[in-house]
Order: sequence, then C-alpha cells, then structure tokens
Amino acid sequence: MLRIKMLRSSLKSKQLELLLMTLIALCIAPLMSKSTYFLHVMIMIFFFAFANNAWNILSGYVGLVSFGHGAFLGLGAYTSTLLLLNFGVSPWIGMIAGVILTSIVAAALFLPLLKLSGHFFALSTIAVREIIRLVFEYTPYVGGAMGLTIPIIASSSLYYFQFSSKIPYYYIALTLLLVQILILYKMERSKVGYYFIAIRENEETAKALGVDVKRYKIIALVLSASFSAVIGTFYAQYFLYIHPNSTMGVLISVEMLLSAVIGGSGTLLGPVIGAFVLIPVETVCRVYLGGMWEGFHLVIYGILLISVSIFAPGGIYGKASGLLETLRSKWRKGK
Amino acid sequence: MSWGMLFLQTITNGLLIGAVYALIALGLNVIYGVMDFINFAHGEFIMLSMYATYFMFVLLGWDPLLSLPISMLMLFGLGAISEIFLVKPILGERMVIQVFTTYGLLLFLRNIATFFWSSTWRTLPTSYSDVVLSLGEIRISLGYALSSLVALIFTIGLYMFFKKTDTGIAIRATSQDRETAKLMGVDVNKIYMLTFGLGSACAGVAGVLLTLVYPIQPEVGEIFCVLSFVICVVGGMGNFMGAILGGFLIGLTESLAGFLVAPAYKHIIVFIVFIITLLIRPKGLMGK
Repeated sequence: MLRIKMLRSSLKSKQLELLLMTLIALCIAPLMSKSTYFLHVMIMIFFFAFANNAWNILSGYVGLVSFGHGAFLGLGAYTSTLLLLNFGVSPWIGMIAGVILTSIVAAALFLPLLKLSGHFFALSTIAVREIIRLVFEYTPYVGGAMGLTIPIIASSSLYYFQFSSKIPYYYIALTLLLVQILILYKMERSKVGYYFIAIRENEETAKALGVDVKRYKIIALVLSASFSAVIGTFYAQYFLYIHPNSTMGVLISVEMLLSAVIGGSGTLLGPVIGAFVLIPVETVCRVYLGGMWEGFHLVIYGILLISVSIFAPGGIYGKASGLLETLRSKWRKGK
Repeated sequence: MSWGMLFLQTITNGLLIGAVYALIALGLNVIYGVMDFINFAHGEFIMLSMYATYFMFVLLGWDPLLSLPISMLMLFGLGAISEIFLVKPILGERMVIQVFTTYGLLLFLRNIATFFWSSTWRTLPTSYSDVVLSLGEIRISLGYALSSLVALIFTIGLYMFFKKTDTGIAIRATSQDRETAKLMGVDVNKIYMLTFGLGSACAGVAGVLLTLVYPIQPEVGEIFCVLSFVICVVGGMGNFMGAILGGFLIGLTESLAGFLVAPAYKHIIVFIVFIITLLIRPKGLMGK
C-alpha cells in the first residue's frame, strides 16, 4: 500500500516537473531561436490550441458538436477591428467588447438551437455560421467580401496591439493559452465541469438528477463563444487583415475542431496536443509541397481524422493515457 | 415581361432545380433512414461524379446523359466501398465519431480533387446547353428541363424499387426494425452496403445532371451538401416523401428569395427558413 502511495506521489511530482520544464522551455524558446518562421509556427500552435480549447468546451465537454465556431471567432475579430478603425479604440478594449457582443449574438442565435441534439445541432450550426458570414460578406460598411485591412499605426505598441517583431505576439499568445488552460483546469474540477460531462454522457439522466441542463448548456455556449472571440481579436491583430471567408468560413471552423478531435475532445490537454501535432504537419507540407499542392495538409488531416475516428475514438490523448494505464497496471502486477 | 410572368418564370426555375435537389437529398435521406447515419461527404460524391462526367465528355466525347449509367455505377461502387471500410467499423459508435469519419473523407476527397484538377471552374458545353424552350412567355433552358426530367425519372424509379422489389422491401424492413429484419433472414450487412451504394448513386446521378447547368470545381460539393441537409431536415429526416417535398420547397424558396429580395441573399433566406422549421417542427414537415 505504502509503496503504491509513494509511487503515486512521485509520479505526480514527475508530472509537475515535466510540466514546469515544458513551461520554461516555451518561455525561453524565443531567446534561443531568432528564426521568425519558428516563431510563426509556435504562435500558430498556441493560436489553434486556444481556439480548439474554446470549441472543446461546447463540443467536447457538453457534446454539442459545432461546425460554426468560425462565426464566433469572426465576430470577435470584426468587433475589435471595426472599433479600432472607426474610433481608434485599443484592440484590448475591443477584445472585451467582442466577447460581450459575441456572447449576445451566440445566445440569441444559438439558444433556440440548444434543444436540438446530435446531428441536428451540428447541421444547424453550419446554417447559422453561413447566415452570419453571408451578412458580413454583403454589408459594405464592414468591408464586404473584400474584408478589412488594419493599417500599421505604430511600429510597436502594446496599446494598439501591434508589433513589428513576432516575439511579443509569441508571449501574448502563450499567456492567453496558459490563462485559458488554468481557467479550464478549474472548470474541469468544479461542479460545472462535472455537469457538462453528465449532460454529454446522458442528458435525460442528468436532468433526472437535478442538473439544470438548459442553464449549463447556455454557460458552455457563452464560455465557448467568448474564448473564440478573444482569439479572433488576436487573429486580426496578428494578420492585420480579416475577411468573412478567412475568419468565418468553413476552413477556420473546421480547423477550430481538428486539433481537439485528433488530440482528444473533452479532455484538458487533448486540443493542445492536437495542435502540437497538426500545425507542424501543416508546416512541413507547406514547406515541401506548398507551391504545387496547396491543400496537401488537409489531405493528411482527412486521413488522420478517419484513422483517429476508427482506431482511437478518444483521440491521441485518450489512446496514450489508456496505453500508459495498462502499462502501469501490468508493471504493478509484476511487482 | 410583366411582373406576373417574371414571377411565374421564377417559380418554374425553382421547381426545375428543386427536382435535382430532391434527388440529392433523397440519397442522403435513404442512408439516414436505414442506417441512422449521415454522410458528410455526400457533396464530395456529387463533385466526383461531376468530374467523371466532365472527363468522359472532354476526353472521350461522351454526352453526359449517355455516360450517366457509368457515373452512376462508379458512385455506387464508391459508396459501397466507403461503407465497407469506413462506415461499418463505426456504425455503433457515438454520433461524434460518425460525423468526423465522413468529415475526414470530405477533406480527403476535396483536396485530392484540388490537386489533380486544380481549383479552376470548368464548364461542360453540350450541343443543347444553349437551347432555350419557350412556353408562352416563360423560357426554360433545355439543360434545366432535361436535368429535372431525368431527376424525376430516377426518383420515381427509386420509389418503385422500394415498393415493388424484394430487395427494396428488405431495405424498408431493415429501416423499420433491424433486429426483426435479421430474424426474417435479411442479411443486414449486405442491405447496409446496398443502401449506402444507392444513396451515393443518387449523388452520382445528381452530379451528372448538375454538369448541364452548373460549373464544376473541387469545392462545388459544399453548397449542395449543405442544401441537402437543409432539405432533409425541412422535409423530415429519413422520410422518402419528405426529401422530395423539401427539395421542391427549398428550390422554390431559393429562386423566390433571389427574385423578391436579392440573388445574393437567397441562401441566407434558405438558412433562415431551415432554422425556423427546426424550431417549429424539429422532425420536419413529413416527420412523425
């Protein structure tokens, strides 16, 4: 008994050690490598990990699969950008405005859909996303199909969220991701997290046990949409160019769920692991095949998605922790 | 042309394209009705059939309507193969897994097509695609008329197949009660393969017909796939007649919205109709 307890605590401290080492490595990485390309890839990993975590709240934990999260990201990006372009408002304030606006729009448009289940919810999110995207595409005031370009106001200014170097973006993205993971960690271990999973596993039983299903679905929706809006502002300030297709289209909506699904949806680290696997795959594809085969990484994503669905329905994280668990119990038995 | 005539013209156009939409949605709905499974790659199957038709026309000079049986058989085969390798292993799984498997297939097919055939728009100019028929003041392009006629013939054929043939009855029995059908000696695995093949063959035929009226591109499946989901939900998931009713309804909505509001907004209005239907009748107009 004692041995097992000691083993467990040593494992915990090992995990903590590993986590700290990873953190330190991530913090000093920009100092070690001056390559902007490396920084860009890392920023994209943080970006997609954050966006997939946002999707994961509604679709992974509560189990309402959404193909429409691009709409939330786009709304966040458009809100902060329009405030900046028209009134010179700092994107940081725009980010908060985006979160509020996106939460309201998400609640108004998706609320009636929350009672739908399974396929029907997934299909209706496509429709809602398309409505929002098409409205932006045909409204000249918000840039229409041409999109909006953010002019360079200052070469490096925290107030205007604009930097000539990639290093500040790196640290901002990393901080955002760490704060988000911390919030999600708290959420997962609070009653809210357990209610979410209860709703996913069996809605009727959850209801019978006294979980206010509707209320917790709304909480998940608003949380999920808010995080998407936050990363939308980051997208706008990083690329300095947004248009309806790139921020609200199919591709971004799918990329907001791929890492989560392949890494392991409904888990805390699944989306992060997924992003660390997928974004380098995309980069390698772009570097070696970019000119001749624009969408090659999507072919690989497709194959990965099919293989994960068939062979590891819990994602990479689920498969790996399952393997680890069997190894551990075998080892224990051997002792 | 008077406003009334324009209105009639709009309705005619809506009904003509509606027949093709009905056939696309029928493919999706037959699969859902029997297997409780949604194929997100349905639109990609349409796209593949469009390219098959295009290349048979350009390289071999075969008219789309003559090469139709070949495209249809190809898509039937593709559907049956996908069923064996992709759908069968995950049939009992959670809905999420089913969604992502066929979504993976969609990504794979769409981007393979982009690689081989580039993302340029191609058109298929047949000898009759420019012919316009006049019915009083209403004008109908022969391409639309033919595609809608052939779609209707196939829809009726499929209906007869389900009503009259033993296999059709076995498929319907499986959709009603899988376990009982099994006890009655129906080979459910074979029925599933056949159903998936048939549903994909519908996409195949619709793809051939669409080449007569629509340009071809690797991402063309997207809108047809979304529209066919909308049609199935509006008409009633898994309901044969629902898909037909929904097809005509959405075809009409689309062309009326284009005429009364603005062509750019036609899909916004279709999606709004879809969401309103979902809220009022979540099981669709014909659903029970």
